[in-house]
Amino acid sequence: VEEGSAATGVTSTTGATGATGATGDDHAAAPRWSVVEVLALAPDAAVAGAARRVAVPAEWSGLGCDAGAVWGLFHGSGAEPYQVGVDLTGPVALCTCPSRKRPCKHAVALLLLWSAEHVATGGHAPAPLGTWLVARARRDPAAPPEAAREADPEPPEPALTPTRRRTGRRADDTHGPAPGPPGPGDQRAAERAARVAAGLLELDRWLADSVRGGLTAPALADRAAWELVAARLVDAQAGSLANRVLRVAELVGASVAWHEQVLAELGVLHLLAEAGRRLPSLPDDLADAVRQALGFTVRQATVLDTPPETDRWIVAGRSDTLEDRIVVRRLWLRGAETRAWALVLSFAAWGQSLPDRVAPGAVMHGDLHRYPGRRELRCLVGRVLDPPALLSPPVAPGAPSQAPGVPPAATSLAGACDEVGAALAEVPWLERWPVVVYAAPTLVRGRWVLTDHTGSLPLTGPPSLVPTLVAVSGGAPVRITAEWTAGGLVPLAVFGPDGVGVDVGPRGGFDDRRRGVRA
Amino acid sequence: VTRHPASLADLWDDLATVGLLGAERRPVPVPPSGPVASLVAQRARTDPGEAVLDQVAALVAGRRAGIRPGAVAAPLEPPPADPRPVRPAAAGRRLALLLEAWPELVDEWLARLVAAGYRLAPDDAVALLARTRAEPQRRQAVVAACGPLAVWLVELFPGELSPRGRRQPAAPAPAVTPGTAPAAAPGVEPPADLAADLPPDLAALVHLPGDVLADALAAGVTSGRFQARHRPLLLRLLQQAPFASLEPVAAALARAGTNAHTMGLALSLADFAATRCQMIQELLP
Repeated sequence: VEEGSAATGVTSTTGATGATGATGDDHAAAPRWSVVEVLALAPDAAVAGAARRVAVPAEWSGLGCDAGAVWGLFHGSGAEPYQVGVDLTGPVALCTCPSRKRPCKHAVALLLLWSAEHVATGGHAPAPLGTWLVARARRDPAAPPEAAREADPEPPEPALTPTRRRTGRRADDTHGPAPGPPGPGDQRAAERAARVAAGLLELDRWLADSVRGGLTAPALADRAAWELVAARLVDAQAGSLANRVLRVAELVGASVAWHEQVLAELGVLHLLAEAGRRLPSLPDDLADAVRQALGFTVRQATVLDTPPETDRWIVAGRSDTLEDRIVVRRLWLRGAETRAWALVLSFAAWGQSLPDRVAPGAVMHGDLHRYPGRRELRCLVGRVLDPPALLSPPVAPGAPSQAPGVPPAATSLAGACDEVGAALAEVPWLERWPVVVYAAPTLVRGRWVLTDHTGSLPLTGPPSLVPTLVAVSGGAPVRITAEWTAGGLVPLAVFGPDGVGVDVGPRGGFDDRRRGVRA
Repeated sequence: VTRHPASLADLWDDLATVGLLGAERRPVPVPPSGPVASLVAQRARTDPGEAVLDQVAALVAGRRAGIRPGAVAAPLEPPPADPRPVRPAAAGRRLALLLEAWPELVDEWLARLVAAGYRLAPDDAVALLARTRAEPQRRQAVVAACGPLAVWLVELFPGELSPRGRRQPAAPAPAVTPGTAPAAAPGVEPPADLAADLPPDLAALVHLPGDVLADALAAGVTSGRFQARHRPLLLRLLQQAPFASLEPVAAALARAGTNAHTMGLALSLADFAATRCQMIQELLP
């Protein structure tokens, strides 16, 4: 903190060091925000309400602030006070409480106190908090938003929030410590290509060894062996493939037919390893698709420079999955005019939350920019002409109720199979593909399926998804957004007869294991 | 003995066996003539592990791309019809907020919902049935608000939604006439024992005119007579307060919350009063 205080102003003129700060205006009080502005940061109304209840100065100590941050200790029911800090330039909050919601009620409460002038300028942030604030403040304040985005390890704002409050930063989409994009020099790119190729060769040898020895070999039952393979792929800068290896490891012993599921996935890994070693000979769009599957990153600026796809984008469904301690949110959008599919990703570190504010059926009128690659669905949000209606609490008596959403266009189950099959024929390693079907849930020999006049497809995913889907349907055909996976359809949203969409997608976490994968 | 499966389905079975036992112990099968055979023929593999992986990759890619629906399945028997309209959207959002912030008000919300002639939305029904598996009293109110959907869902999802504890036969859903509260549901007014818990001086406040009650509460908070430890009692008082009192009470407490020492309690009580006021308005018949 001492080291950082000179640079950040975490130590104030009234602090123990007696320093006045090296940056001159570090200790100048930032303009305080209004209560309305503060409460707008709360991820939901419950947090806003709870924050008001803990915004009691008597329950806080060590309150302080400077030009860029506010901090304090909240004395809750636990033995240790929670350390709470807010970097006002983000704004980004840190709190040591266990809440998954971010900002949590303590961070919002801290801002409420600050807003109400109950936090005096100056003071010391306690050590861990101070270190975090120092680290954040060390970012070059003059850096343009793009540079800040590349360097910022914080999880991004939720999808479809094209600008961050106060800073105007666009939602980030970097995923953990992913390797950086190829440098400007050919030599650097060649070095990376060589590293990836070596990693893929090593993976392929391990795959062949595994099949030669048999899937019941004790080594494969040890997750550490899979983690070692994944670590080598990370070293080779093929992070996405490394995560995929770990997902296959979760299948080992997880079901009666696990060896068939694992064998099928080893075959797909082999396919990718082969494709990755032949990148120069592949068509450009296929090579880009392979690169995406391996984990090559693409600069956001490059994506945003692509021609925009302007449409009224309907929120078709959402899915949160936990991948290597990162919660990945997939927001599936479908163009009302073009019927094109798009995927907007956002991420949060495990333990932090992604606000769930966009309802199925909400519509965003604006531009999406698509990542390169054959059958690529991932996009970045560009210009927003009309933002989607947010899921907000009722604000006043008599306020108009939420308008029913716009259900995305649906097809039959056979039509959905056609769509999925066409995509997989071009990109065989796809793990998921979105569909909207008009079908009814029903039970077949104890397993839930969707059925219509063209046939049936099995449902999969966490068991907790199904009751709400069935309840909304009442056993009748309804419009359902789902992700195709090798194990079946994972329901994401169901649109009732009144057109109102209900989000039933996976919430992430350890219960979110795919089951019943079939070749 | 090297196997020559006649179909791709047989090939998959053979590959699965080889994969399980190991290509060192079982010979690699020869695929039937067709696209898989053509693809793997392009690769001259000496390593049996690689040869198996080639076949698996080609077969899995083909099978997944060739996905077709299974047989048409019989639909579920639908639940009996419930003539009541689904609760307004604003009330649904209010319920979500109550469950997180003010669970004290959920019982009253349910009672008012039924009395107003509404039923729960299906997603509310699942959430509340799951939450009240071990709360028999509250579950009665939930079942009344769900209507026949409750029994239907519990039969389909006993593991997720049936009551915990002693196994009981599923009770038929109470007959519901729009605009009336089923006998099983608690009355619209909060239970009388809430008032019984209040000290006499607080209980006497309940029936004061709204502006008088508001001034009394604000003065009590501002003067320090009411402190954080009194919060549960004050919340119970506000649960008893007539609808007409809630808005002035919320406004007065919000004004009283500008002082550093009173802010937490005052704003909390103001939020509770405002929430209950809005909840009642959203569920008027």
